Amino acid sequence: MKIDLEFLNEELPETLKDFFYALGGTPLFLFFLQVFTGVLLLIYYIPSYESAYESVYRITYTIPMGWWIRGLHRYGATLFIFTIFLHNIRVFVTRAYSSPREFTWVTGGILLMLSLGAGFTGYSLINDQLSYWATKVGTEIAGSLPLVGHWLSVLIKGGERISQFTISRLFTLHIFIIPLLLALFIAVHIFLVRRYGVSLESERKYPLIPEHLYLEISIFIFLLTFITLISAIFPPELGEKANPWKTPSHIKPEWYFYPLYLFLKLVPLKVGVLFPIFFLFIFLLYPFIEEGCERLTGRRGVLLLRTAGVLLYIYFVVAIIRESIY
Amino acid sequence: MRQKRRFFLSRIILYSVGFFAFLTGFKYLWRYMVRRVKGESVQIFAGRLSDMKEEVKEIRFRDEILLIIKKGEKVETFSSTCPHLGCKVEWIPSEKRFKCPCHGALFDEDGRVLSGPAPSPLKKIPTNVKDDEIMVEVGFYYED
Repeated sequence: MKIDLEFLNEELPETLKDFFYALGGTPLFLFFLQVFTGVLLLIYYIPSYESAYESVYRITYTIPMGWWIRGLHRYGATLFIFTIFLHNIRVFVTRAYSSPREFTWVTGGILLMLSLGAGFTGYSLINDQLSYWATKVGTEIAGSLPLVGHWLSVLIKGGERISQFTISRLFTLHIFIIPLLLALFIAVHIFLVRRYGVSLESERKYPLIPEHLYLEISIFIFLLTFITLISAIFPPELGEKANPWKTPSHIKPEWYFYPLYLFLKLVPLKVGVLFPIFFLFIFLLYPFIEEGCERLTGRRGVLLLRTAGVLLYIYFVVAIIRESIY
Repeated sequence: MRQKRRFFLSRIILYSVGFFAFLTGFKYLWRYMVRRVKGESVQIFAGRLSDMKEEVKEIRFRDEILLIIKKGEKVETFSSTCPHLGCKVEWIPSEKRFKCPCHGALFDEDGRVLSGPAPSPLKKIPTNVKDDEIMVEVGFYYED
């Protein structure tokens, strides 16, 4: 059997040396880091309503270097979502989603949603106060959807209340279903990038091996050092154990849900639940909507649409900063 | 022509059987994933009216906290679950109102929404006082 190694001689556009144009590769590395540290955490984590908190406590405070592995996983997840978010902003600003790269955008959008799902199911497994009440609010949001809400909530919780069945279901989602879907969509995303290319092609090229490989290795070493440093300065902590009778005051989700959290505080419940779903569809199908708009209304419509997009990005950033401060 | 018709009919039958097999499979899968909830109402003893020293008394029943509020000789009970997204509201004695710590909904002592995103008042729980005994009716739900 002959293996085609021709791709090793490939040359890449020089724009890939610019960090903002090479942001897509960072989440890819972080995904592998999440899988690796996730497997290491599984050695000690117990997916049980009674013992989950104790097992995370043991990992964090008792087991040698447990704080480091948990720190890599925790901050790795934060950075994973952050870099996808940055990558998404760069793609939006430079209009890199334009034809023929519409489906690259769609798969990227799905990857962002999946990473948010991985974040939510991940911190729900700790079973401390934040995790318990975040699960409670998350399932209530699902439960308030019209028609299918109650069934969806029962499906996630495995019953009417948060119990062992909830932990088991979130665990299955977090360690199996979501990573599998992530891997699948990453593969499709990379295939589409290779098929339709990057938005800013350059005349000047540089070799994949060794130059680009060295660049990727240095990014890998930098990120690993950076996350280790963050874990050492701010070791991952654990709140109080889940108490279903007491909602802590000033409870907040992780930073990446702040825009939704703030929105839910400001608007009636139905709007707070239905608008984000509507926005999600607009977001995923944005390149097609923009193309349609351009055909119907010309440049003015596109300008309006992109202004609305920029305003939404600004809202996201402002909500994250506001809720981080207050 | 006859052969075409036979082919068409056999395809229709095949797809119909496939579709019903899928529906049946989905039904049983759904039955496995979503457990049925059964329930009934039960009356529980929540304490003596004469023992209520403070305005609001909390009693715990499974995951639920019931808030019994005393207004003279009258007693009302509310569920502490916020109708917005399920967090537990708390009684603030100085302001005589219930506050939800999650998204900031405020309710007055009759459970009505004062401000914030809650879509409805706090759920009122049927309550009886007989011979100084406070009895509240709660749903006792369990999954099969």
